[in-house]
Parts: sequence; structure tokens; C-alpha cells
Amino acid sequence: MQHALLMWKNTRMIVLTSVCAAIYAATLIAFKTVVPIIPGVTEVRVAGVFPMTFGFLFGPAGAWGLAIGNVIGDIFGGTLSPASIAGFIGNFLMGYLPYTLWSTLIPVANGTYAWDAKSVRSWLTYIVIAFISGAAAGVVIGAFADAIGMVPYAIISKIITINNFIGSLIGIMLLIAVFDVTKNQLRLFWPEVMDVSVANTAMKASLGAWLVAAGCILGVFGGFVPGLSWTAVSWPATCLIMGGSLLL
Amino acid sequence: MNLTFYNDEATWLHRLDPRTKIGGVLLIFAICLCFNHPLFIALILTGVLAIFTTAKSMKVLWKLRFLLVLLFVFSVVLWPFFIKGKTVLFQWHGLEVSSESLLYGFAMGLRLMTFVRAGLLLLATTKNEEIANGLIRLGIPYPVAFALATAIRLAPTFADAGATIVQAQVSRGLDLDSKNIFIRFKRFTPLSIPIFISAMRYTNFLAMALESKGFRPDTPRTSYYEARITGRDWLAMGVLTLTFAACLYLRLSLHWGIIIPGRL
Amino acid sequence: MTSSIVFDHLSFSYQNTSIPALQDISGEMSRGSFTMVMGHSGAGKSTLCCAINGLVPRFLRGDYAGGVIVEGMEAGKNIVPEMAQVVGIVLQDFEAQLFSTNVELEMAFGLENKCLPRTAMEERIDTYMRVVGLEELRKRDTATLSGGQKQRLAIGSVLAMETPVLVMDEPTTDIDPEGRRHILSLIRTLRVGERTLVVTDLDAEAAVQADQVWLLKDGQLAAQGTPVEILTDSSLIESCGVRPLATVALFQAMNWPGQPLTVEAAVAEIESRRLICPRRPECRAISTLTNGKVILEARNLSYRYPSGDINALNDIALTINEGDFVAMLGQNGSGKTTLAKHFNGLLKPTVGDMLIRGRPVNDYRRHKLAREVGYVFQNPDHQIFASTVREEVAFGPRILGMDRKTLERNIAESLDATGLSGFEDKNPFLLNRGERQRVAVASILAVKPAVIILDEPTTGLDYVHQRDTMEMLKRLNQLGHTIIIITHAMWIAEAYARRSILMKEGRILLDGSTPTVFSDENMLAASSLAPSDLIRLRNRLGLAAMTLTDMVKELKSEAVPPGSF
Repeated sequence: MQHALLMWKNTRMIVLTSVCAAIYAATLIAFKTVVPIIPGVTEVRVAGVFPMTFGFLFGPAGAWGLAIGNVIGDIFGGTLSPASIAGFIGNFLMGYLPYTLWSTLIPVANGTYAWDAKSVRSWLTYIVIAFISGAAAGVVIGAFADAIGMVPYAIISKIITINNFIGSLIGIMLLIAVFDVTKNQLRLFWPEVMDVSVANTAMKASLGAWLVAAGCILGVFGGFVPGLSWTAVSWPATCLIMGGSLLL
Repeated sequence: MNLTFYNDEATWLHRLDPRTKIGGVLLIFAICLCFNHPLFIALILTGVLAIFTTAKSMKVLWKLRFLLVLLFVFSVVLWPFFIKGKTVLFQWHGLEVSSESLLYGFAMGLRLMTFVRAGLLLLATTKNEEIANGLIRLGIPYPVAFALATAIRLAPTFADAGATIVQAQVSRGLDLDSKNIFIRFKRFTPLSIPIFISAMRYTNFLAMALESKGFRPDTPRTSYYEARITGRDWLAMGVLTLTFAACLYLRLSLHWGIIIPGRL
Repeated sequence: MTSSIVFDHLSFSYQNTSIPALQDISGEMSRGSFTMVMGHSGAGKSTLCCAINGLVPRFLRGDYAGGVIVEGMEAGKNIVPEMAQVVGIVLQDFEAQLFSTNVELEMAFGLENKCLPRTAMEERIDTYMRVVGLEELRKRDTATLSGGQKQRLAIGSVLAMETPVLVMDEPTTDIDPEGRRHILSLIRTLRVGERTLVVTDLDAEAAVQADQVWLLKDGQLAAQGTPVEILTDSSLIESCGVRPLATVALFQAMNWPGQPLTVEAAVAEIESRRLICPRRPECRAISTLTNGKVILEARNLSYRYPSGDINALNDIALTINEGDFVAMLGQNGSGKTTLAKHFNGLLKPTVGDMLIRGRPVNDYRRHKLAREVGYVFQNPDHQIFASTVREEVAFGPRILGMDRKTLERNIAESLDATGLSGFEDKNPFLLNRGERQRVAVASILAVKPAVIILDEPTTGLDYVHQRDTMEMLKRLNQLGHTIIIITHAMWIAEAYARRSILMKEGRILLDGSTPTVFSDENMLAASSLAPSDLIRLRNRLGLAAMTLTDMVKELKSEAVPPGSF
């Protein structure tokens, strides 16, 4: 969490936040599907390819950018509602978890922030984290949307999870294409912008990573266990995810 | 590209302080959550529409008519299958629909429309810069509000660029209308990469321009827009707060407006 | 005169590069002076600007030696926001320096950072909105301004900070001619008073009004002096990648005495010395291309954007022949781009028809259309996505289902035609702007479309790159491609297009052979355009030729001995 707060003292990170938010909002608007308020009901959106790349390349700026971008999508889409608050948190997680889990989620993490398109481990880590961060957003937004009577959790959490996951899988092409240019030519890779030399690999953070992962599994699959209702599952899962995120 | 919902009029609502309007919309959201009986929510919706009329902004609603209808239908159709009520109307392979769940679905459809309309009330009467300024005065740190305001400023520019990118790739033969799911996935690469790179080329320039204008994230600054809380603002907040309190009382003590107990 | 900016043996190279961006720059700019910095792209103009307020080396890192002292403050030793007290800078890309959602807030931004009280802000905003001529747009949403207005706002918001030094990096790039004229006259207003003004530009015509001209070449200060000293040396400025002044070049080529910097001065000189006899401009028959078959035809075409309330195009009737070279001219918003987008079916007429080879555009499948008409958009970054140049160029042909052998051949040919052979495996994102522009052209060319439309193919390029690009298009035209360019650069239309179409407010104002169109200065003025200095001189002298070489030939062939009558 520390970097996510510290970044507000860094001009370049603040600008990166704006640019990420604007790209995300612009693609949300430009390729808007019919029902923007119920995220991704109809199809995978172009905007869906960005979260992993933003989170991974720009770290906290990507996370805040997605959160703010989603609100702006609501402002320009005319769909400001209590769900915008959940959307803020959920989209934040989609950018926050990629860079935090990358160094902390044992055993897939290798303890650095580096990405290497030639390494199988990088791909594996990417896929695992893509699922977790997508599911985290699905669970948190879903629990909230259900509680305020917008869409039933059983449906919306799965739709968001699957859509985010597919978007992120396609997004790996984006990450591969832009990683070098962003890091070496534009010099915008976040550990370098923020002068972070050592990746966060503390025990506390790894525990947080596992709490988040556990919350996602509970939230996405828990309802299939006989006797457990989806609504009953949603809040404990959300608490695990939020609590774990604070430890990261 | 002009995307805002702002409706340039000079009504009392336009003149309210942005803080009042942000707080007011949050209160309306809260009021909506007090009941889940369609009649009660219909009453709240009527109230919101009345405010729209005095803000001379009904035409803003017209812009979103399809979305509003869709949201309503979606809720009405979906919810009955996920909520259990006492008076079961029919059962089929474990799915059951009751008269309570039907009413609940109807109520949720109305609530969703009320949410969106209340949100539009803010957007139709408040400029983007006023919203940002309101948020700063509500205690959001300046760098965050700055990021929000700048993103709002850049989003239309990037949306324009996005539209151009689509045209550029279509000119080269990219097929956007294909029904084939894999072709649909494949088109993301030629669209998303140029959007990303062309926008990222801005970032360093923006940061340079920002520092050159004397911006520092952690030093105090003055603000050109001064907000003024007037008697009108106090009145509006007072009325809404009282309404909310009354609704809480109705729901919690008198148990009015409840179709499905135990849900918001 | 006291000095305002002092460069002391300044050298700088960017991180991870071997070639220095600036080498041993020494010089002074005195308080209240106006210095024009010129040079080819990559000569170090922007780096020099950024060194004045400390962005180099505080933000753009690298090896820094020597120093710059601005109004007593040493640039490298103070952080950039601190330097903002004495230096205001307008960076190259106006789009990237506007942060606010409306005009007056943008004006206030720097003042808020300076912690000015509200009343003082209001005063300054009033004053400087008037200076940049935006007082009527005070509450407008920034995103809805035109390019020229955005640039003026960017300048105004820096002006409002009332710094003793004002730096502007290529303030006239990427705006239409009318916007450019606004900016140039604004610069004239700004030079009065104590303000030290440093401006970079690619065009020698803008430098005439300066006190001092600095010429940069490969990071070194090649020359500095008064405009007369520098601009009259055509070979010097050409060697620095700047297009020489037409008046000076003509006088030198003709061996005429005098070195006039403006058309008016040149005409006066010619008349007073009776170098040639003034004649009435005569219209000679100039061959326009009429033998080709009609390939594009617009019939009573009107178009209205779905969100618009007036027609963007009005009743356009136009035919374009195969093999022609056409320039479309006009201000932004005149309808050039809208019309061009009809040529390849990106837009469909609201009323009337658009025909390609006699068949309505709607009858063509998208794939077929892409083979008939290729469209190169203005910003190459709006289409480049592949990781190698070869992949990028192959995208179009591959999607259109071209077989492997033809594909390979077409890629090789289009890379060759654009001078990119050997770039196959390079990453297009790492190329410079001019090279990326050529990748974009090559990727369209690989499909071998009969017609190639290019939107502003020379924006942001220096003279040398502009000429290279245009020579390439000329070759393609000779190979049989019909070329249509949309351009704000008059000299490019004059020198390369066979036919020019002048547009205003969605209508065709004038359409004919380029020499005829450019003879009609009144019509051009009606759409706020003016020919280049060379052609204005040609029109005054009543010549028919359109290029310097041809003009010299024409003058010499009917040489009238000076003072013979």
C-alpha cells in the first residue's frame, strides 16, 4: 500500500495516473456497449485489455488511473450511481494486484518486478495474476451491486471475472508489444520512475497475497458448495480480498 | 469531441455549491436504499424528476432514454429468479418466482433508474471543473483531484484519437463487423497498441509542462474558483437530511416500504 | 544592454545515447531581445529550450556540462518549479500542456501554483486573455477549441505568469495557416517591452522579425547573428536544414544586387533598380492531366456529421483522373479531410453519390476498397502497432488475403520506394517521426492502391525530410499512383501538385491547375491562405514558372537587360 500513497508526491506518477485514467475512460466511452453500468454484460470490451498492462507497467499510477478512469467513464456515460464507488475500488484492485502480487505471490512470483516475454514463468505468473485480479474486481463489485439491488451477485461476479480474465489474456499481446518501448524509450516503468530498487517481498505481503487469492477462490467458486448461498459467500470473500490488499 | 451532459441554464440547482450537490446526490442514493417496495421508490423517483423539471434539464434524460429503459427491463426480468418470497407463483427445475420477488424486481428496476437519474442531476447542473473543485473542498488531496481533472480534460482527446485509429485500421482492411469471435479478439491488438503508445507519448510532455508551470505536488496553492455556501445550500442539505432521517425512521421503526425483509 | 540568458559552454547528451544533443554552446541573449533558434530536426533546438528552465538536466537526465544562467539563477542547480519564477516555456505539443477543463481555469493554473490571491489572478487573466485574443471563449471547454486556439491558450497561460523570460518551442507547428498567422502576429506583440523572447521555428520566414538568429546544427551552434547576416546566407541555412528565403535565393540565382528578406522589399528593389520590367501576369496554358480516366467522382455530395447541425460538405461536384497529383487546401474545418474520407468510403454521403471507377462506394466490399484507395492518416502513431517494420507493412496485404509471394514482393517494393530497405526488422516505435511517417506510407503502399491519400504528410518534419517525403510521392506518382495530399504547407502544393483544390466552409472555392490556383491571390485570401513568398514574387513579376529553378530559367530566357527602358 505504501507505494500507492507515496506516488502522489511524484509529478510523473501523477501525470501517468491522469493519462491511464484518460485512456481507460476514452476506450470505455468510444467502444461503449449498450449496458455500460452492468459491466461487460454483452461482450469483452476494448478497455478490458488495459488493466494488467497499466498495473504491471505503471504500478500504483495504473491502479489509481483505472479507478479514476472508471469514474470518468461513468461521468461521460451518464451512469454515476452508488455502483461507481464499487467500480472505483474494483478497478483499483485490477491495477493494484498485478504489480503487488507479481513480487509477493509465492510460489509463482520470483521476487522482482521484471517481465520477460521469453520466460515461461513470466507467462504463468501473468495468467495466474490476471485471474486473481479479475476475480477480485468481480467479487468486490458483485457483492456491492447485489447488496444495493442492482444485479444479483451470482451472475455479475462471474461475468466480470470472466470478462476481465479474457480481456487480460488478450492484453498480454499489448504488454509484450509495449513493454520495451515504455521502459527503455519513454522511461515510464514505475519502479524506475519512483526509484524503487528492491521489490516488496516481505512475509506480511505474501500473507496478504494469499488472503486475496483465497478470497477470490471463495468468491468465485464458493457458491457451488452445497448449502452455501452466493450472497452468503460474497461478503467474507470481499473482506478477505480487501484485508489482504491492505497487507500488500 | 464534446461529451458532457452539462446543460447550460441558470436555475437554482445550477447555482448550488458543488459540495451541496455531491452531498445531495449521495443522500438521494441513501434514501433510495431505505425501501425496497416499488411504490415507495416510485415516489422518490417522482421527487427526482420534479427536481429535474425545476433544473430545466429533462432533455438530458431524453439522451439516455434507451439506457434507462434497458436497465429497468434488465432488473425486472432478472431479480425475480434470484430472490425467494412467500407467495410462490410457479416453479420449474429449481427456479421459482413469487409475487414478492416480482415486486422486488420491479422496485429494483425503478431504483436503478432513480440512481442514474440522480447522478445525471449532478452531471446536468455541474460543470466538470466544479465537480473537481467540490471534491477538493470536501477534502480530497489536490494531486488526486488534479489527476481527475486532467483525465477529464484528456479523455475526449484520446477518444478522438481512438476514433481516428479505428478509421486508420479500417482503411487498411481491418474488419470490425465480423461476427467471428476470434476475429473480434484479434482486432484488439491493432487498436489497443496505437491507442496506448500515442497516448503515452504525451506523458513526459505533460509532466514537463506541469513542472514548468511551477507545479509541486506537496506545496500549498490557491484556488481560482471560490466556493460560496449560501443559505440556499443549507436549506437544500437540511431538507434532504431530514428526508433521509424520516425515511430511516419509516423503515427501521415502522417497517414501511419493505417487500423483502433483510435486504436493502 | 544587460544579458538575460547566458550559456556557458553547455554540453548535454541524453541518457543511454552516444551522440551529444548539445555541444559546447556559448552565447548571450540580452534582456528584452527576441532570439530565433533554427535548425534541422534533431539539431538540439528543443534541448536548448529545455536547458533554459532546467528541464534539462533536472527532468530529462543525461550528461550535463557547462551551464545556463537565467536572470541570475543557474538552471541546472534549481528545481524546475523554482525556475518557473523566471522562465515561462511553451513546449512543442500544445495538446500536452493543457490540464484544465475550461479556458479561464487553464489561464489560472500557473497562478494558483504561485499562490496568487484571487483578485490578482482575475486581473492577470483578463489582461492576457485579451493579449492572446481568447476573451470571448473564457468559459469554453478546452477540448472543444481548435488547434490554433489551443496553442494561443497554451501561450496565454504561460504569459499570465509574467516571467521575464519566455521560451516557445515551435509554436506554429501543426496549426493551419490562419492559426499560424495569429501566432506570428502575437509574437510581434510580445516582443515589445522587457520580456526576453526565445522562439524556435522551422521556417526562415518567421525569423525575419527577430533581433538575433541562432542556427543549430547537430547540437552545435553553427552561426549566430542578425537576421540579415544569417538569412542572406542561403547555403548556410540550407546546410542546417532550413529552407532558404525565396527572395534571397532568387536574387542570388539571378546575380541581382541586394538581399531583400521580404517580398515587398524584393519588389521594391526590382522596381527601383529596374531589374526587369513589370508585366501584367499572363495566364499561360499549363498542361493539366486530362488524359487519364476518371477514377474518383463526387456527384452533388453533401455530408452532415451525425452530431452536427450544419453540413460539413455542401453539394460537392468533383472528378479526379487517374495518375493525377492533387493538393487539397483550406483551413481546418473547411471540409478537406471530410471529403477525403469519402474517397475511401470511411464516410458515406448524406446526399449525393461518391463513385470509384464509376461505381458507387457502397457497392464495394471493404477489402476491395482498400485496394483501390489507400489513406495515410496524419499521425503515424495512430496506426503503427507491430513489433517490426516488416510486420507493420504486411498487415494490410495479409488481411486482404494476398498470397505469400506477392506479399513478399510488395513489402520489398514499398520499403524500397519509401527508402526503408534495411529497416525490416527494426521496431517501428523506436524510429523517429519522419521514419515512422514513411512506415505508415509503406504500409499503405504495400497494398498497391490506385489512389493514395495523405493527410498532412509533412507536419512536424523539417525542410530536408519534407523534401524527401515529397520526392518519394513524386516517384510514386510517376509509377502510376494517383496522389492526393491534404496540406497546410503552401510551398509543397506549389512545387509538387499538378492540380489544387481550394476548400472553404464545406464548398469547393477554386479548383484548377496549381499555377492557375496560386495566381489567384484574392481567392486564396478569401479562404485565409496566402502563397509562399516565392509564388507571391512570381505573381508580382508575372511569371509562369512555379519553382525557383524554372523561374530563373524563365527570367534568363527573356532576359531584359537591367535598366534597358
